[in-house]
Amino acid sequence: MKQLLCQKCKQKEAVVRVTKIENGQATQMNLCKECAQQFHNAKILPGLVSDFMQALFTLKGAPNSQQAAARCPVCGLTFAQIQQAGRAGCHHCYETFEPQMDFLLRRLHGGSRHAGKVPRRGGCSIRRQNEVRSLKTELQELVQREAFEEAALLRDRIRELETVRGGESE
Amino acid sequence: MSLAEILAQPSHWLTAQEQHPIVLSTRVRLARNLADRPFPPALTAEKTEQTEAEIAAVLETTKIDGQCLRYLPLRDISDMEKMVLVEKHLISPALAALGAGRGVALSPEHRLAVMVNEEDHIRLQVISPGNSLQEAFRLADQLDDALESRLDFAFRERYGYLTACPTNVGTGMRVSTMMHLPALVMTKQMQQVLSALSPLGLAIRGLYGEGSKAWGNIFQISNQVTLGKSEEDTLVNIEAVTEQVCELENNARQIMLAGRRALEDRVWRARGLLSHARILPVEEAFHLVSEDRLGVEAGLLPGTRETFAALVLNLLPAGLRYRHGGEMTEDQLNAARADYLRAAAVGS
Ligand SMILES: [Zn+2]
Ligand SMILES: [Zn+2]
Repeated sequence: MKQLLCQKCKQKEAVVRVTKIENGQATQMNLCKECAQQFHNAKILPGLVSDFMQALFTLKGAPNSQQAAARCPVCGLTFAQIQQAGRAGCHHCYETFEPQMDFLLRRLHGGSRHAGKVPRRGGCSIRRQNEVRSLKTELQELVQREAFEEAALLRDRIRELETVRGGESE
Repeated sequence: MSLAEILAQPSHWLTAQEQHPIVLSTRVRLARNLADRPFPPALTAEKTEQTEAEIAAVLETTKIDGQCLRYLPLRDISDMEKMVLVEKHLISPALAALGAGRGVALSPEHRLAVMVNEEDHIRLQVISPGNSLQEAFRLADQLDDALESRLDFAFRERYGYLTACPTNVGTGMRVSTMMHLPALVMTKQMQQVLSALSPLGLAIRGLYGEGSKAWGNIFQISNQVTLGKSEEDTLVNIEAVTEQVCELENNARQIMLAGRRALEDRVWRARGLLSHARILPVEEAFHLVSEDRLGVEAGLLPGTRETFAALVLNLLPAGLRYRHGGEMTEDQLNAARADYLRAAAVGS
């Protein structure tokens, strides 16, 4: 596979594509890690911004499935169009292009699983699942700390929640 | 209440008399989308207006904490009025640039502001004076609950609330505090603060968001991460960082106060110019008002009639034009700004 050279130092391999906006004109540049860092530091000078959208799509490691050519069945956008606009067309885009979107969300947020509010309507079972998930993480920590008494209590609570869920879905 | 009256109402965050010495205001914003249609940028003009009508009907019949919302369609608002709303942080510059089918719902005193059909169908915002994140969040959360009971929002278990821009997916929540940091700037410590913040997933920017200059030594700190962190964690994180930055600013102020005569001279010069100048360009006015405020907070200068937030906002061009009833040249603006500062604000 052909190596892409950094467009700034023209020496190292480019790993990031950044969008530079100057006088209302957007230009894209492929940069190596060091030059990208400099680019970002320059943007973080007082009053300026480190805009995550700037380094939106890394070239390396991005899943590059054939799906990239497909269109979202609801809004009709291709992944390339979403990439260009930096915006999804509709919420189905997140499903249609799940591998790419998932990758992107991880890059942007460091995680790709929602940990916050769940709509009240129809959200009951989702809320319970989220609770179980966070309790399980807590349980692991307790076990690691060898706090077995507390862990036993927590295990009972998790079992309780899971029984309700099972009863509901079956 | 007429549209003009709603616009002319003083915004609560600008006039509240209990002022925090460093934090001017706190904002919480939630992005939400309807589940049954594409995001606004992918809607036809017809569908955009239909969506606007549906959401506006819900907003106008929603009451939160005793506050009603009044919907203002952008097509009924002049360009000057739009810019006033942008300056007051009630709509985004992006919304102001868009056409029919968009608008904003405001509560009295503008505590709540809900943008319709910006890049998401709904962007609700609570803006409060001082350092009051939890309070602002509770109000935003209540409004969200009320809207959600009548509208179906796009939500997936894995990704949370789905938004046009992937940077907002998850909680859809952006929290920010606006801070006045003159001593950190004067003692050249701002760069250090900035580099400490960026690894924490926080952004810091000037008064008017992305790319704006830090006029008046005013900075906004906000979260970048919306996926994988709960609302509570994000609030706690921003609160802690805000506290820390306040502490650094206070320390820097103490150090400057140690050289009392030099600081006294500096802030009294600012007060002198503000009380006597006849022409003040916006950047200079911001600078002087910031130094003046530092003097007031340090107990070196008598207080001003208006809050610092109001002083700063009233220096901006759209508001000045609006209050003077129309077009003004740069020279006229600079003169009106100096007049305002002399008479209404600083002069006694
Ligand atoms: Zn390079
Ligand atoms: Zn789509």
